[in-house]
Amino acid sequence: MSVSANLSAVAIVDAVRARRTSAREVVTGALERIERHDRILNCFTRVLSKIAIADADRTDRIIATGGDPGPLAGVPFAVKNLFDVAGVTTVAGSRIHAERPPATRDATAVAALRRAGAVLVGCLNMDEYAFGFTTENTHYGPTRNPHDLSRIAGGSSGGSAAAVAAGLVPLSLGSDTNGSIRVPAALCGVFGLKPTYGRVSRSGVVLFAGSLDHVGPLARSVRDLALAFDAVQGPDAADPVCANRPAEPTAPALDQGMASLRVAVAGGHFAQLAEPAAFAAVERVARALGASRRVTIPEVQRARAAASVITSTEGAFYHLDDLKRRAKDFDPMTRDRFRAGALVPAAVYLRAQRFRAWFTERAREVFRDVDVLVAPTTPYPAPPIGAPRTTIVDDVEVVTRGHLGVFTQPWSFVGLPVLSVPITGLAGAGPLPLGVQLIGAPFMEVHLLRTAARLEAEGVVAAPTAPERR
Amino acid sequence: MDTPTEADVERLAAALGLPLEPGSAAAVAEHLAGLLAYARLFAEFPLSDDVEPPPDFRP
Repeated sequence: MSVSANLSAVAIVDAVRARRTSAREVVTGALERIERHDRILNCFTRVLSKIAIADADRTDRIIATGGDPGPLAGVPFAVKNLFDVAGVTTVAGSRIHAERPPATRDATAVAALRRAGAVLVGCLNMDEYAFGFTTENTHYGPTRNPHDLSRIAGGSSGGSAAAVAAGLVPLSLGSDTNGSIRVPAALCGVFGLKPTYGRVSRSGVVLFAGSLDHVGPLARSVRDLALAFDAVQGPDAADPVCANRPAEPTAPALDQGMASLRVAVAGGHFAQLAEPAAFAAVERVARALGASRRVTIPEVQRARAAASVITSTEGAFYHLDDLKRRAKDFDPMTRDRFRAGALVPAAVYLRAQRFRAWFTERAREVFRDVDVLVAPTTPYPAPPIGAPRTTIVDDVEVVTRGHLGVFTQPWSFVGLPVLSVPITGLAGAGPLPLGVQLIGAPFMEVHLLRTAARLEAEGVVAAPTAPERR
Repeated sequence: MDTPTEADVERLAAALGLPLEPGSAAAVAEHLAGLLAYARLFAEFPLSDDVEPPPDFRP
């Protein structure tokens, strides 16, 4: 069989297990696509060809000897370069970490995917230390949006989203502190899942703001996303915030439909300061789900403000020694923002955390009689690379890059699971995709995946095929 | 310190032992001003005394 760019993980597993193709053929195909397209897209900061071929051959040997190669047998994947990979230096988008020795073991999530039979092919570009929504990385160059090369991929998991959108790999891992899985997933037109805080181990991941950091998968189909999530979810004593809660597989539940799920649309903050296309995307999803109820969560602006303060303060804490010793080696896109975070008084930080406790209760109240809440992911499609600092939305001047997180930040602030689903064909967006967030109660990722599966089955959401580049 | 000046930033940075190269205090002050403006948004919101910062955050 031919190994095309848009083959799903599910199709790859079926073909590899049935020996219609080999893991080596699949992985070689992915490596060739990376070689052909990534010089322009700039998704990868490291390609692990030899390791990938060796892992693929191991999978093929297991199959040849009648063994179980795992639920993701032969599926190529790649990870944001803040995940530890044994034998590879974890650069976290920085020049400073690039001087560190190679990691001695895989991050827990990377190891879990490999144990499931997936084949790691490389490490992906990001904003330095995950502090950004654009992947306009000064050290490693910007990652380009596969749907329009003049535009950003979003961030900070920009390489993770663009590599999947361009068909270089069917699966990737990213991290999300304020929207860093969901924003690039929306701008590149793929599915991105930010699980519940503590659902997936962050052990072996370079943290950005520990009390807000999540890791999760990106994919071009709901089933692929569920398979990847099922492989990485579950307790891990190596991550102090990982929930002591057994994994709850979601893939078997995708066909259950929506019958018992109560869906509402987020109003107030989530219905302003965006381009009409973002709201049209929400309406399209709401209509398909028969959701007419509007829910308003109070004080979302203050929640976003508190999330920003916590992020900057915790981020600065991690990098304070390097800020003191070698500030010149930071990306100019992050350096002064980290420094400002270092100067925030402790009382301000703690007040932000107190507000977070209050807002968490308000968010919990919403989910007492709602299972899935619908909101835009970003307020506009991907801006151009090097866009001006501010832009006008709804006659209001906003910070072009920071405003990308206006709708994502409040949910990561309270650790709720969120799935961004891709939509195209929206008036005003041209060929560019946008995303819609499906938000759920803590640890109820299965509700979001079931809802996304229904939307996908009805053709409401889908990952658009990126134009073939030669 | 409603709107931090460059001098404020230089004093705070010195107290923390954070060196700033000449000319960089202005940009840091601008970012810090943004964070403190955010802080005013939630600091002015009344919270009862029993609202604690989560010692080990769980959703």
